[in-house]
Amino acid sequence: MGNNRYMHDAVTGWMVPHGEHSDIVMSTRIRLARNLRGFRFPIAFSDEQADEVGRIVSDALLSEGKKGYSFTRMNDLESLERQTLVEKHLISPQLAKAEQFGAVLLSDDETISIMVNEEDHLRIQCIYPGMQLENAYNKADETDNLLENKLPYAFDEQFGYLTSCPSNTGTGLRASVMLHLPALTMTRQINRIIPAISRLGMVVRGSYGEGSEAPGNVYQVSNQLTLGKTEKEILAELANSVSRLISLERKARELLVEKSRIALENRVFRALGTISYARLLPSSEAARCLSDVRLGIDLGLIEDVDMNILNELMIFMQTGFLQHYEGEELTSEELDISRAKLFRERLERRSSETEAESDTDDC
Amino acid sequence: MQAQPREFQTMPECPECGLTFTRFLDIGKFGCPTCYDTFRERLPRVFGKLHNGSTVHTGKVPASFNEKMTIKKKIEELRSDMQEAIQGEQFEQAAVIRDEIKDWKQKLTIETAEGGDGSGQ
Repeated sequence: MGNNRYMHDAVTGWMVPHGEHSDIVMSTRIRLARNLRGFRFPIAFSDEQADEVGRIVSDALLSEGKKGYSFTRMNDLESLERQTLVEKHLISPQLAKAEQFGAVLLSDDETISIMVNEEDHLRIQCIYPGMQLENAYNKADETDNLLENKLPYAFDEQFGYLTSCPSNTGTGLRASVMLHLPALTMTRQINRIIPAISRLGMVVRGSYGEGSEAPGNVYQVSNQLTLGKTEKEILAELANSVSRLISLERKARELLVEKSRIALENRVFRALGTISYARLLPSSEAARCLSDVRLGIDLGLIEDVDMNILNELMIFMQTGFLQHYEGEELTSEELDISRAKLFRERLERRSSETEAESDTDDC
Repeated sequence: MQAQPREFQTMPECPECGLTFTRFLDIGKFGCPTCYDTFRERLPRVFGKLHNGSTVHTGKVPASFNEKMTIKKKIEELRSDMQEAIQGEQFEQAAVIRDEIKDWKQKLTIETAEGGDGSGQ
């Protein structure tokens, strides 16, 4: 049933603005790494073991009559479909590459995805919009408890949850918060802040995780340490770093408005002009402009653009979605044309809607 | 592969997946859960470096594992009670405790079997 649903709606739960600081915090993600006793880790397992892990895990969740989950094997998906799942952050790039034995159990509301045979046998992931570390952790924890009843977890008294990579051993918990930090980036303060934060045991990187850049000024802040701290401590420390980043970003934004309002207005409206009228829109430029327009909306400079449209475009502008939308593989120039068209159409609809509204107001 | 006896002693090999400690340091990944047992003594140094000096898990414990731990602790307690009873020459009391220990031990083996202790298949 649900197999193709995620292709149709670009906007999934975690992209709808939520709660306090929703102008800066875009989403919260919790990931728990778990493995099964008696099986080698994916890096070393045999084909038979890989198959069996997939079967045991899907049975554990589905046989229970546990509704609301669908099980999808990577090799049942076209590479384009896998890519769109990555672009929605529902699976990792690494799982998308695990064509043969990778699989994902996805909850219908797309908040929980359980990746099977990625680097570990299980990666339980929960994504919520806005700043919701505790809620997202509780949801992942609940799912973990459910699976733990059914599965022989590899756990050690001294080392905790055993994982393939020693950097995940212990709690197996990676908590991340996605932050939009345009002002800190513009003023280059971010280059000074990143090393300071990593000294606190946190990692700051681009939104697609390890090794990725920060397109659209979206940064992912996550805990580095997984051993020797309780889950609660890890979440509290991360929340601490995040709130420091938020207040620094706010201060930087205030200063920008105060000191260079015209330059800032120029920048955000030019960006809006670009995405509204461009005929060729490369993804780096689109990401940069989306970030500027988003900042313009946050600061009240731009009033007639709906943030939801921006969130949707952020996902749709990616190459997997564009090609899915056009129904064929595209060259890089065709992608830029298609992206420009998509932006024009979505933003044009916006302005005609608002015009229609103001017309009725006048009457 | 003919392992020289001396090297073999300093380089334990995981009986489950064949990973050696040097290879582990090389690739930075374990091959299976049993590796943790195989390299146990050397791991605190590895973890200390990665986790800012920490080498022991203090977070969540799976419920099933918790039960096992509770039973093990209970057995320890009863054993020392039994020793005390024997010291005090309360042999009847000691026999009662001995039977109780037997019951708990049985529960422990059932728990472990249910957990499917398949580490060494």
